[in-house]
This record gives sequence, structure tokens and C-alpha cells, in this order.
Amino acid sequence: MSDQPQIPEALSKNIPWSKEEGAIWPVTTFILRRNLAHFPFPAKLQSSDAHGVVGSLKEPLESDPLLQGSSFIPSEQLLPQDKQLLYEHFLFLHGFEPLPDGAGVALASDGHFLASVNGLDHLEMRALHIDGPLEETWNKLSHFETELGHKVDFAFTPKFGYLTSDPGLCGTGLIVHAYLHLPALIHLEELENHLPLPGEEEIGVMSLSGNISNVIGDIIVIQNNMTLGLTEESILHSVQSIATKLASAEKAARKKIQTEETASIKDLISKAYGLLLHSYQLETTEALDLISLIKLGVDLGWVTGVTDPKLTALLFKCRQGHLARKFPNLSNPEERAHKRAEFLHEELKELQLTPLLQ
Amino acid sequence: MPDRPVECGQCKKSVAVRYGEMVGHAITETEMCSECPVLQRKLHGSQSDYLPAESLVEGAGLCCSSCRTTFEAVKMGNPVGCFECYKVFGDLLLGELLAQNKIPARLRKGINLRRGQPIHIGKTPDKALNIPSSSRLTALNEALNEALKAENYEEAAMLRDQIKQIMEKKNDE
Repeated sequence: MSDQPQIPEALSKNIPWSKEEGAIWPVTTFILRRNLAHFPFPAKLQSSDAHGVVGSLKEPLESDPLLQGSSFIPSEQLLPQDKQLLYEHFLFLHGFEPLPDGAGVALASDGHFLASVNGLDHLEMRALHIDGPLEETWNKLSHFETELGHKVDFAFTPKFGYLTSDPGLCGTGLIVHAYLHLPALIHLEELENHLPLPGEEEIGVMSLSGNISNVIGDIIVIQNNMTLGLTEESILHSVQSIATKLASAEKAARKKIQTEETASIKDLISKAYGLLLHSYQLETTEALDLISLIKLGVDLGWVTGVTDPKLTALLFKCRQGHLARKFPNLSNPEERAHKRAEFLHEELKELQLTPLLQ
Repeated sequence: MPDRPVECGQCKKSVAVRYGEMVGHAITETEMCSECPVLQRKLHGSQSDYLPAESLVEGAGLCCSSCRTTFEAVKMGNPVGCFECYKVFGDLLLGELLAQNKIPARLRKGINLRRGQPIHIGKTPDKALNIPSSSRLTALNEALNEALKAENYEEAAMLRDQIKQIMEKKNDE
């Protein structure tokens, strides 16, 4: 195994988040799953077959313009911290699937596209959408997948569509995650009024922890629950529709907090200020929650001395994989929590509360 | 060991399935053709009248002859093993997806498990699917209508501004 990181340094610097100040809907991920028709699916794959799958996919992946000549990285060359970095950068919700022997990834140099081979399915294509119409990212992904489909046979039947290891994902094989930063709705306890109704079963709501009852960093994830019996266009539309409504409600909630100068929110933001600047140790989830509140404070004009893009970058940089890239010698969780606190003190030392919060 | 029978004891067609059944302490094994009505009754009561030829029965469960994945295992949440599994488990899988609400409600009533009609209506492998960039505007208009309905006029005004911005940008282009 190589002891050099295989993931480009640029990945930990290019933050996948909209550059718009106070962005409420900063990023969306598209995940498209495919299997090859002539190989057993990964759960039943023998080692020789696994290498056969890689052999079939490697050249077409590496030669596609979307991957811009990047090379395939076998899983055995990926260090644990590389996997963690990919997990954080590509906003995985359920953990980075353990990649067995004969698996690997291909990564676009701009950090917007990741192809994983022999994970849960033979091929998982993951595209990050940050700016512009959602459809543009889908169209790129669809073009990529179709070009690939001219070189390999994807498992497909007219009845079930594209066949996936999890039958609940067959059909389009497409999952869209819209990430929304909703601190105002969450802390005003108004989120539930806007969540999809129980009847709207095509859409699910999650958090970074995967569980809506445990929200981290005030980030809510909207995703399609169904992939069969729907077109890709209707999936995009459903996610877009709910995400737009939530983003609009969040904007109104922020306006309300600003106008009413809500005391409970002022209190939360000033406590976040104190904890971020004076804690001895900070866990990741704690840090994400606090940075989220400072982001809200900046958007409301109640906190100064830091820009919104810097806070966005910190949402990523304080996570384990990013932190390990910056401070490679941290060996235990306590040390990491202390270093995280120290790092945030330094990055946020100019932070100030405006007179409204004093 | 006796030779396997070459034809179904019930229908006299080629044998495709071995069905094992445990009754009390005794295990009985019967070899049947894939379309044998006796097999269908044993597996699904009197409802089912279709089972593809690629299947066989291992123990008392349906099993893919290509990768040996059992339907029971898939039902328990294990991954599907190969392309053939979808043929072998076909309608049973569909039944599971229906039970798990993995198919839109509007389609559920119209699905006839016996006909094997396509459920997939999305992209096919032959060509890329280009979607025109209109869903943002549609979603904003929907949100605007809802905000107006709920008399959230401030929110409605913000949405109207966003729609206006998009329209102006489109006109400029």
C-alpha cells in the first residue's frame, strides 16, 4: 500500500458549497447507480470478477472528459484519511462504503465528480451541483453515463429499468440529495410546519446524521424516496419543489428574526460565539452546530469580523478528514477535539458581536 | 443416487425447479417444471400463475440458479446478487417494492403482477436524457402560490422577486 495520500490537495481546498452569501440551498448531490450485465453484482463478486469489472470500467472512466484524464485509484491505495476526506467532501450520508479488494475510485480534478467501482453496485456516479440550474448537472451526468453505456452493457430490463443491488433503487437508479441550511426555521421550531406531509411519500427528509431527529449544523437533506415508476425529470422536480419551498420559508424566518430581534436566537448566537472562542475541546458535531449559528448571525448582521465564505469553509475544515489533512499527527480523539478548538480560535479570532447582541 | 427425473411429475414438461418441503420431521423433494401450477400453489397459494424458468428452490425458498441468492435473503435486506435474480424473483420483488411503498401511489393500483408490464418509465440505455432547465421557475411559481394561499405576503414578495430575476435573466439571454 502506498503511504502517500492519493487524493489531490485541491480537494480539501475546493469547498463544495455555493459562493452566494448566506446561501440557504448551497449544494445538491446526484447519485446514479449502475451494474454491469455480465458480472455478478458486488455482493456475489469473486476477486477475479471484481478485477474484470474494474478492467471493463477503468479505461472508459479515465478517458471521459468529465474525469479530465484523472486516473483510477485502487482501494488498497486509499488511506483511511483519504476515504474520510472523500466522505466529507462528497457529503456522504451513510458512510463511505467499505471498498473491498478490486474496488476503487476515479475522481474529477475539480472535485465535483466521483465514480466508485465495486462498492454496493459496480458503479456509483456521484456529481455535486453547486450553481446554476439543477438540470445542467443532470444533463452532464446523463451524457457521461450514456457514453459509458456505449462501451459497457449496463444491467437493464424494460420492466425494472437499471438493476441495482438494492431493489429499492432500481428503475432510474437516481437519488438526488438537496442540502439546505435552515438555522432560522430549526431554532424558531417552525421546521415541522413546512416538512413534506405524510402523504408526500415520494420525498424524504434527513439530516447529516441520517436521522431527522438529530440535526447537525442545522443542515437538512431532502431526497427522493423512490426511483422506480418515476422519470428522472419528475424526481428532480419533486426535490426542487420541496427544497424551494423550504428555502423560501427559511428566508422569511430569517427576516422575522431580524425584525423581531428574537431574544432566544440572540442568546443562541452569543453563546455560540463564546463557545467557539473559548472552548478547550470541540467535537465535530458541536463545532458544526456553533458555526451554523455564527453563519446565521453574520447573515442577520449581528456578528462581524468573519465572512460567510470563511465560515462555510470552516464547516468542512473542522471535520475529521479535513483536520487530519491539515494536522497529520493527531492520533486520538481527545487530541483532535483540542486541536479543532485551537484551530477555530485562531480562524475566528476577529469575530465580534455587534451592539445588538451586547 | 437415483437419476434426476427429466420431466415434471405433474405436467410432463422439462424439470427446472427442485422444491424442498419440511413436513413434521420429514423432508420431501419434488422436481417440477417452472410453470407447474402445483409449484405456484405451494409458493404463493392459488394466486400466482407465473414463475420464470431460471429459478430453482433451495430448502423451502426461491433461489437464483445463477448466483444462489435466495428471495428470502433479499427480503431480509440483503443485496440482489445478479441480473438473473431480477428475472427469477421478478413479480415477487415487485410485490416487495409495492409493500415497502417504493412505487408511486398513482401506479400501485394499475400494476397487475401477472402481466409483467414495464414499471420503469425513466431513461433507457440507448440515449442520454436531456432535461430542459425549467424546474426552478416551476418550483418558484408553486412556492409562490402556496405562500399566497397561506397569506404569507412577505414570503410571496421574496419569491416574486426571484421569479422576476430569473425571467429578466432569460430575456437578456
